[in-house]
Amino acid sequence: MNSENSLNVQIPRWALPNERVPMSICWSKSIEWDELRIILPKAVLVDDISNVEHFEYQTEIKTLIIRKIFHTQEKTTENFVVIVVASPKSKSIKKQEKILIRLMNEGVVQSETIGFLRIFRPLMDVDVLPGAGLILSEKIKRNTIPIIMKVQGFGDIRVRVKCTTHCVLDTEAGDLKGSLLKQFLGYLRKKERELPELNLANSKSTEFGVNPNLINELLSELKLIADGAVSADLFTLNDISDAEIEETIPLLNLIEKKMEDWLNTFMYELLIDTGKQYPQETIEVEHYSAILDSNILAEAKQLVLNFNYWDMLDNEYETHKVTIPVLDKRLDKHKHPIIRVEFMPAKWEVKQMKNVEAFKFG
Amino acid sequence: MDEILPTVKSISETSKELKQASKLLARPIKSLSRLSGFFSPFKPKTKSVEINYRSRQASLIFTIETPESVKKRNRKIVIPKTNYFSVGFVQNDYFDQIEDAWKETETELILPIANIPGNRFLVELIGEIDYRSLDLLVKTYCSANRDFTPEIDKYILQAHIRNVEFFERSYKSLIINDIPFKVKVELSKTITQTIPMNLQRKLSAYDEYKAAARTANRQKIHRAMIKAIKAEREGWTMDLARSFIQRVGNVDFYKSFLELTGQFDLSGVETSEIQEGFIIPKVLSVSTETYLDLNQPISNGELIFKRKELQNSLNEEFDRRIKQK
Repeated sequence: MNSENSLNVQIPRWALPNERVPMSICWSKSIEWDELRIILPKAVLVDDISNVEHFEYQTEIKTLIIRKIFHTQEKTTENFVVIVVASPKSKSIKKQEKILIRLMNEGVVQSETIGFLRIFRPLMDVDVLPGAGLILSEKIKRNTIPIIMKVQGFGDIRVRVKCTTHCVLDTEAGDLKGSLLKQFLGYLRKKERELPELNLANSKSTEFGVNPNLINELLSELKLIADGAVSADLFTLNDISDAEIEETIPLLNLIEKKMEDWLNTFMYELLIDTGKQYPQETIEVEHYSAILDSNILAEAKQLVLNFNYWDMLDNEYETHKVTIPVLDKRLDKHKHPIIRVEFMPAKWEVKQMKNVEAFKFG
Repeated sequence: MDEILPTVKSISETSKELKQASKLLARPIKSLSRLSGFFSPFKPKTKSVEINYRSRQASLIFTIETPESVKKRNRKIVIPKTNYFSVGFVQNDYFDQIEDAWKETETELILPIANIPGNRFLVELIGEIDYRSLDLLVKTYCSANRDFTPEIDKYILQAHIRNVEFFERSYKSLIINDIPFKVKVELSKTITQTIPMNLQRKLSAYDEYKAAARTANRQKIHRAMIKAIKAEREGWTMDLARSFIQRVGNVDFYKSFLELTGQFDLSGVETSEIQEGFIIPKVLSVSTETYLDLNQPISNGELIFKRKELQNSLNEEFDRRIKQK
């Protein structure tokens, strides 16, 4: 290997994706050379370079050409260091990139060698046993959901689990959106006299966390109404007559630019009023319990767990989503269920790659 | 995994930086060199430049010839003080350091050379290198993730000089000392299984008792005491628990399980705080250092953490104490 006429390359035997890794190249001073070429595979980039006086990079052929390096009298070898980094797109937990290094003189190859950039990455899998589910009830204090987590590949990981409950809101008033729109149109008619003067500089909705999606939906419906498309078929406003709609079109046009502000103020005032009507109810941020009617029922349908993981370099890998069906058997569904999740994986299958230094690629 | 293209500098920028590096580095050392001009009657010749990476100090070491004839005409060397340098050692031909060679006034540093016997001296002047220049001088690398076998954890370390020629051309010899590397060895990832659950409970009972004793809460103290008494009955006395905690809480215990290869040396180990309910620290911060010179412009090494040996040793510490009861 270390004969008189050979190139020697040294590179760490393992690296994570996106890790900057030093590749040092060295050869005997007795070899005559005028060019050293480093031919890089697609996934490998050069991040930095040391001890090189003159070089050029030819993008088309992905080659770094070095013509002059800094050398010291003390040593009998020439050497320099290139920092390389690979961002492999493969999902494989192990990949070897081959970097070809050629020492040339007058166009003739004097010596050639390959630097192997060995990339390893972690791999995590999450699974829930089929038939797993969650039952919500006043009697059941604790549910256990068996989740299997498999950690393979190479490298330590950091895992984050985010849990969201998905509920369906059911109101006796029927169509919540429809009833809100009706209320709003009535509100406008009441305020008709004040409309041009009222200056709603700031939207007041921030105090009550109204679901922005609801606001957007209401807004788009309102804009349709304002445009004069009065056919009731187009809307989900079962309770509103065509005549009522026609009445409010001019009002909507008046506030066209400030429609969002108006809607937010309306919601704000509505929630304040509701609070006054039902002093025992707590109007909570994010889960509005009562709008028109205290008979809004929240039925939990799903618990969704999102798993993210990162390696030591903060590379982010695939997200895993686990959906767990929920059977909501609570007697009192007036409040949104509060589900506290404690994460204690019962089964951790950890089969990480050991001794990657010695791993042999096929 | 997303298509993350690393933020790679354009390579031509790197080339420009390297050329700039020489100029940048030259400044602190050039100013030191200029100071050696004050020694001109004595024909100063640069012997070497030593840079301590950790302290960012650059030492310019040069020889001066001081025959009696020259000394007669130049009785002393006077250098105006500035913020940018300080004086180091003065050594004679026999490698003896001259004590208190330099005299200091408010504005000047004076070397009364005529009063110091000898024909040849080695003089050191010390300057400071800024962070940026240091970055351009040396590049370091440490594995982002350990490799591990059933016995050990391993990290790869490397340091290299970014431009060897500059120093050789100008200053003949360059030594860069104390290039620090800090590696965090996470004990919590590898050791917890060793300590049996019931033992952990016993030791944490002791911890709880200690913590409760600091509060004025009688209930707390009482509860903790009951736990501790129970633990004592089950075989471990407070003394044994205490001695065990002292042993494995002490940083020296861990030093013997760290090994360095290549031109790397261990310069320090720090343990993280031992949290309530735990017995061993979560993280060991291992500081190592290496040096570079023109003969060794690239330094390669490994940090090896003898994990299995540590586990065995912890087991031994338990067993020893259990037998004592």
